[in-house]
Amino acid sequence: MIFESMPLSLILIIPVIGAIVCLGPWFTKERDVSGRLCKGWAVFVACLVTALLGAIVSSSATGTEDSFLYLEEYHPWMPSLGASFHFTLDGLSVGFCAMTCLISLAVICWSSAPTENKAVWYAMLLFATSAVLGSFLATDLVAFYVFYELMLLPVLAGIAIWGGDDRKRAVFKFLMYTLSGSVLMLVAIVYLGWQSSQILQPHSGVTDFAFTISTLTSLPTLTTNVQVVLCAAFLVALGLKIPIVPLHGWLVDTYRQAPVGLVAFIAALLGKVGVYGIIRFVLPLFPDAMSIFGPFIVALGAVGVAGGALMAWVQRDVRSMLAYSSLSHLGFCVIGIGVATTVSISGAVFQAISHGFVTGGLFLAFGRLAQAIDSDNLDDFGGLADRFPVMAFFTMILTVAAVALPLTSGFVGEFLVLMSAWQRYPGWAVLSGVGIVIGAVYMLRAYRSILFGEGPRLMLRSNSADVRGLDLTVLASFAVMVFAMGIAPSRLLSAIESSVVVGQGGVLKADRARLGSLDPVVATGIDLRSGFPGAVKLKFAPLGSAQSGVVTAKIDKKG
Amino acid sequence: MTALESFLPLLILGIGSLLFLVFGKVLTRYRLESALATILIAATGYCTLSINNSVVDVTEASVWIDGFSKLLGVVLCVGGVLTVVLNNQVVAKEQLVDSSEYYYLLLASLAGALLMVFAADYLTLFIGLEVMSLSLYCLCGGRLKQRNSSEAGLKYFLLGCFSSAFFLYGIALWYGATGSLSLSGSIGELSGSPELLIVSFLFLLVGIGFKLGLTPFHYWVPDVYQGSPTSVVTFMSYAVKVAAVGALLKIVIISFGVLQAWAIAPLWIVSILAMCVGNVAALQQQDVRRMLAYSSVAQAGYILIGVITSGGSPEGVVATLFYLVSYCVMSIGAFGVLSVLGPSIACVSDLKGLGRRNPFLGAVMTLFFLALAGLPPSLAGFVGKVYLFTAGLSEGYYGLVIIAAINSAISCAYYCRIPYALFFQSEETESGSEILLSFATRASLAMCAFLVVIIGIAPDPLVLAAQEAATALLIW
Repeated sequence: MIFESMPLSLILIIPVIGAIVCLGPWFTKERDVSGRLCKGWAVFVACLVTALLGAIVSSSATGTEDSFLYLEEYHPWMPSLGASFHFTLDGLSVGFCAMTCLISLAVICWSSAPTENKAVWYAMLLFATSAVLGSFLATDLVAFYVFYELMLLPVLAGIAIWGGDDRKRAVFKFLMYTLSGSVLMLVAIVYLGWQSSQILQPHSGVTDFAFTISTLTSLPTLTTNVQVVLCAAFLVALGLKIPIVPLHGWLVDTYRQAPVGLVAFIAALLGKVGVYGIIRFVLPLFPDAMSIFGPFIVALGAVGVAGGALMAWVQRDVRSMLAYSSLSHLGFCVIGIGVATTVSISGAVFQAISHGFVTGGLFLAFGRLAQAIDSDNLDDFGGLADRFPVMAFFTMILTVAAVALPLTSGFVGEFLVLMSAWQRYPGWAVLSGVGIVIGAVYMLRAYRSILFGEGPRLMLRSNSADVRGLDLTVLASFAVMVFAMGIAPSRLLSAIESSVVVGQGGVLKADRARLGSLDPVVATGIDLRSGFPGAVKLKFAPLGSAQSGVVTAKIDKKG
Repeated sequence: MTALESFLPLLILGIGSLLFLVFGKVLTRYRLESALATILIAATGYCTLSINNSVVDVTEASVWIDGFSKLLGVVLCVGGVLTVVLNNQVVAKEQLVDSSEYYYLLLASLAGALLMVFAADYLTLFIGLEVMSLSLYCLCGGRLKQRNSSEAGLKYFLLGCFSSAFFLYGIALWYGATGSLSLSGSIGELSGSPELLIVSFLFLLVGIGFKLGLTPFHYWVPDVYQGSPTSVVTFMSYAVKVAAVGALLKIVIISFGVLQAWAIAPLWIVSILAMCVGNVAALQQQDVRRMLAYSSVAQAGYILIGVITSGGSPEGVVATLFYLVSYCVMSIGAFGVLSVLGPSIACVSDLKGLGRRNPFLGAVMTLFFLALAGLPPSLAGFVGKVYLFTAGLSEGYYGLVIIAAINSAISCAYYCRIPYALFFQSEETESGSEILLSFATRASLAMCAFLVVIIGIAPDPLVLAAQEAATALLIW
């Protein structure tokens, strides 16, 4: 019943309820609930969410090539402003959502949770999961903004409670970087809504705001100057999270201070919201501005790939190295966005999802090893393969995926992006190629110095043992994902491509596609009014009736 | 009968407050004061809600009750109930001279605020302002044995009198320009002297700006908020804002109609100054109450955005009212927690580890401060800001909105220090005693927290009420 009417909200509500239940005992006198119980509960909730997502996908997917999946849900929120809780699950968001569920399940299962305040730890992870899922599902700009901010809070709380010695600085740096970027995005969002009301008004006779992406893209485009300003505000806010190169100041501090499981969560998921946000909102909303910014974005991405790799090369700290390697790998997503063809966008999305699994897994594995010797310094490691043979095996798989070996997931995304970038920006493509080579150097070197060679300089903790049980399952499933995505990428790619539609595909209005075939404009999501075959299944009040519901609550501007 | 009916809310409060003077000792002895005050305020709220829209003209003093004054009146009463219930334990502890006098003054002040909201002419408005303020001056200085409380009372009194004089002078000039004391005036007939109107508007703005704590007139705010009993600050932080914003909206919309450039420019400057000065000064405060005082200056600046845009468009009024109401809930909550914690908590560092010791207080306080910062999950502040920004942008005040947005990012830096201290820093000394909260206090704090979240998630009822109020105001 509830599943029928609000499946997507259910995905978001279940983790929140789970988290509140988890926190419940904390408000009473009996605070000492066993960590095992909390963990069991959290695993159960995360499994439930994952299963629910699976059920939704399997019941909504058609399996045809051009219309993979489409499901919308709509609840009015601020009717007088037209803001709504509008969620869409389509080929673009389904990969991100699945990744979020799996990564958060993995982080919850992974056994290096902090020793104290376990209930809060699992509650925080569940809250964060809900917020990240919300930002991957929301197609209303205001709702997206809310989830985008919301996911910051549990993560910051996690760093503030369990972070390293310098956590206060890291927390405030992260907070201020993100907030100062995103408030201007809020202004841009509000401006868009108001602009839409100016356009809609002559038709409906009332002030009618719209923040839903499908409505906004169906309106005539804004003038280029306005687009450039708004687009810059969006890019700064979303680029901060990815991060795009000049905006990465928070990255290393945050990654070094966050606790082990959380840093995997942050690295795997938070940046992807930026990638997703740009593809979902910025590309379709500001086609002209993006065609102006495109070359610069590609350049910044390529500089990120090469520069991040160089920086990672010289780091002696595992976490800093992985932080810069994230910057480097996500540079490919940035390039893909800048090139803006169907292939490059699919490549960017694929790379983002693949990077989630690879980096998430590496942070978990290296984090465990670093905990075993109580140090993050690469020089202190060595010869750990003897003590951790299983870990060494799976870490090898993740490492080769990180250096983009063919048949692993890392290869597909980088290859697609490079291929499409090569046609238009050969110079930057070469630079990012160099970045890949350096990537191989530092990753393999780090792998060698951690797991092979002479024994560690520091004493191993007495209780450190190789992975087994649940942890082994986690690592094994990461490895399976890496190979599955590398060997058979077509399923995910066709899902992405079914939602990423290039301008001349009939989805867009004519004035949207005016840039012609050389400069393809990308639209994501499917405009309902055009009756694109992608709109397989609609489970929400149609836009028309939703708006008329708003109309009654209006005061006429003249009155 | 209609005349009496319209005055009924004011009569209940006025006569009811006298009960505290007459039966003070009895009430104190049987601890009935807060219960009686709650009942009186609730009855006032109910009467306000049930009045038919009407105009009453009793000699020269007139009140006008419509959707607008009803909304603000109900907000005042609901806030009053929350404040009284929240502080029911605190008042006895706060070393006030006499707790029955406290309730007498509180109710009198609330009556003044209601009168301001109901007022249909400048004289009534001024009487309301004075009744509200005079009671507050006494309340602020209520902790007689404390030097800074006396300082707060005296400072507020002296500066307040000065600003009242400005306000009165503004009224006189208005009378000179229009030949009428009525709010709607008759600019059309005597529009030959715009200079007089300009000066009148500026003087009225000085008077209201002082009560709101807008920037050039904000120097009393931190001292008064710090020195006064916090239970009083809980009340004045919302009641004065509601009354003053209500009066300002009436002045701007009814008296001056579509705002001219000469009216917008000073409002614009004052709004920006208040936001910037308030936020930057709040960044540097160590004392929580001073920090909140400066933040209230900044919040008044945000509200002014709505006032500026409300000249002629209902969206501006709706945004102003929405933000005003959500600000009331947040500030009652934030000051209420501080009031419950007592004067021993002064600095941000005193809050360290409090959330771990008392998760309930920590959780609600976090919600209030996140709401003030405009961060989810307490969405009231966020939704309010979205409404304000929309109103600002749709009237073309891009600069104002961008400055407000940047300011709200700055403000997160100091608001977030509170949750950070509550949960993520451990206390230096283990001396913190257990804080015992009565059920009533818990319930009203929980109510505030619930409102802060629910106003954000389901803003529709409030928006509809605000739209009704805006329509009422605009058809004057």
